[in-house]
Amino acid sequence: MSCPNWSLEELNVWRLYGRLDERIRDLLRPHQMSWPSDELELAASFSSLQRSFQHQRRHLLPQSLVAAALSRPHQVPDWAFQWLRSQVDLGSLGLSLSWEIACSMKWMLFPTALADESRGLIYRVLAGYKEGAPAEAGFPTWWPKTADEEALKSVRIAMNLLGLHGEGGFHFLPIIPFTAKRLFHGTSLGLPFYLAGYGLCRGFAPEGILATGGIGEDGSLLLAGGLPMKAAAASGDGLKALLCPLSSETKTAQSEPVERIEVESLQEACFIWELYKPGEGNDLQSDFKSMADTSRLAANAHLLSKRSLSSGIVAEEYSKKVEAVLEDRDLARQLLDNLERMADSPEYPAREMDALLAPFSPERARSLAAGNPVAAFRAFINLLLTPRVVCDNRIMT
Amino acid sequence: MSAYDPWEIRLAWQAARQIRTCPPDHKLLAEAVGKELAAHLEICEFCRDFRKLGPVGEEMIPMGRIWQQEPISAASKAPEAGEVWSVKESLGGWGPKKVHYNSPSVLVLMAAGKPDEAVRVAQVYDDPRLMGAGDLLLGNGLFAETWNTYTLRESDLDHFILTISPELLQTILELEAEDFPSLDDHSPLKAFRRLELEVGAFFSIQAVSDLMSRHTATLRERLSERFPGEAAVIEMIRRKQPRITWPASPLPLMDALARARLPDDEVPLAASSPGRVLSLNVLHIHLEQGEMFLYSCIASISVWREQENGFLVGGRIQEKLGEEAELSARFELPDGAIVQGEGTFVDAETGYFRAFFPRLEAVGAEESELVLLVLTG
Repeated sequence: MSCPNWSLEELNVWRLYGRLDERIRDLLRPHQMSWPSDELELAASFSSLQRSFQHQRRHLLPQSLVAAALSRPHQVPDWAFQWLRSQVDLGSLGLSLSWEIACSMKWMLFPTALADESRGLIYRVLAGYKEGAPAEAGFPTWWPKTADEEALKSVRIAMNLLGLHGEGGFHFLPIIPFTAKRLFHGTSLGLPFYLAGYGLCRGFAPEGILATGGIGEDGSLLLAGGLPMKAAAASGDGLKALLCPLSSETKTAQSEPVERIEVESLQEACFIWELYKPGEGNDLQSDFKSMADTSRLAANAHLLSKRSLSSGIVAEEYSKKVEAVLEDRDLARQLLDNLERMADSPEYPAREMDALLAPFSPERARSLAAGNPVAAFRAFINLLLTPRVVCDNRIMT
Repeated sequence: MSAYDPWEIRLAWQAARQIRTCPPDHKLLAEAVGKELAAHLEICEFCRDFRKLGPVGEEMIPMGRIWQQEPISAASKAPEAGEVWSVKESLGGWGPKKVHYNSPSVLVLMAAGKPDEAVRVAQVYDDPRLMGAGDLLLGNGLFAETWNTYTLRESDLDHFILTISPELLQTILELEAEDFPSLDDHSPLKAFRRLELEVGAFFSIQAVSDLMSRHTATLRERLSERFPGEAAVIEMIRRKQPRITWPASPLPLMDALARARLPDDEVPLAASSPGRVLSLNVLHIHLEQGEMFLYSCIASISVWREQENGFLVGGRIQEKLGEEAELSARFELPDGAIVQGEGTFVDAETGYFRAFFPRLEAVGAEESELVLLVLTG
């Protein structure tokens, strides 16, 4: 079941009944917080809740409010933003940022998973990206206390690989119950941190997907452990999919509670991360494999999912691959056979057909006609005879 | 085997006796000697000397007494489990055996459920020479007496002193349930423990008698007092609300009320909502008028998860309740077994509620039916 929302008012009632400790898990889920109805309620609840927390728990509430506000700014009432800015010092949470800079950045919350033999836990991390800033990654001052050397190294590697893009700087704030306890162990943080940064750079923040796994310095993927526990924790947290490096660890049961998407490369992980929608993981994997191999693309272009065909990045890559396919007579024939069959099928959606035929530009026609006139002829006849495709002067020239 | 020499332990015991049972300076040095002080001076040579020597004698007072007078940090917060607090000095006073019981420090084992409700504490002492089996060091020389735990009011606690780790608190809670080998009746350690128990009893009796006098009967208790016999309640509702369908087989009153089915046109339906909602019965009781009304309402669920060896459910009743409200909650498992909710509350003002089902796992909860009943009045 999806996790329900929580509110400060509710936590405050639980506090009155001496049950606040039971709701600490909710404070680790800022994305599910409902904002109070007015400033008075926010200020009163904040103050009474803060007074009830022991010193080592005093970061929980401000960190949760800040994460909720920055990751979903459009859901925050203006007065709440003003109140937060006046009451919560980002430095006290370990973030070396002013509110002004923070508000100019792009933020997202992404899940990370921890597991041992008996259970899994999901903690979220607030990640921010500042375009044009020096390619550095900022972490809270307490970060080294909460992660072991392997975990720190895995995140460093992820940041180094992201730094290769060299377009901006990052800030991360793990939303965790203690800031002076070692909570993160092992290498599995590398992949989620990398993907979060990658997504922020490219302007997307997928929902419902948990990534786990390490990354080597050469960008290769390293296996993650405790997958059944992590899958169970992800499900309990309302997540829909677990993205991880392809492993020999078998699923514990056929009915693992979330869709497990095992990837072979960082590129594939990025592809899934960028396009993921609940229930579409397998289709996307199949699309990625088709796009990676011209023979597969020639045979399966018409099977590319709607999700992939509607994506800008896939369109660009598809166009390049089609060019490669058309250079091979056999593959070109196979691709055109498939496209013709789809064009003749009344069920095949017009929008997808448009996307499949998009690479056949006049320029490409000219170059193709020189080496493979039959293919060029078939491609453009196909276009002309496809009634759902809007013929524009691209084709006629 | 204690690491201290017998004379050290004896000295520590003497200091403990003074710290716990000699009156504070302002009472001891008062010009007028009251009946209690006179009686105490008869049995306490330390106080006799102190009163005779006046402030000069202060140098001779053992360290324990001075520690007690040191200022300790105050904090305006509600006491939480795992915190050491001082007990209000004003609660100390003359008691049996011609002694003055001075307020000790205590470790909070379980915080109050509501403001100024009961807190469970373990008494704390500050001289490790008097430690024995069942005592656990907390830091700063303080140790908790796991064999001397009792109840106080939250308002009995005065100043916050320190916090211990959750792990240490857990150990103390586990030790509390253990029996320890008995001590030699004539040993100073045994005498110290007897004294500590007396001190604890002195403060606990005040708290418990007040808490008991404050306890008001629950709505359920008042309902059964006003309408003896469970059938009478159902009969009364049946007369006023004949369209209610009651369970076919006889059930205890609370189960029958929870299971009673209101006519379809009186049952609110939840509009499409992303969260989980459930329907429950509410019995509104007007005791003074001798009337009651059963209706159905919707609760939205905000907590639905496995937690700490059980299953935790929380949410909000989407209906205005009376001035007070009580919740009964249970899961009915597919095999017919019942898991009763523990530590349930429903806040009458806001409608937020909580119920915990021990040893119930998430899978079990998903396959079972949660049945809630609210009594309000």
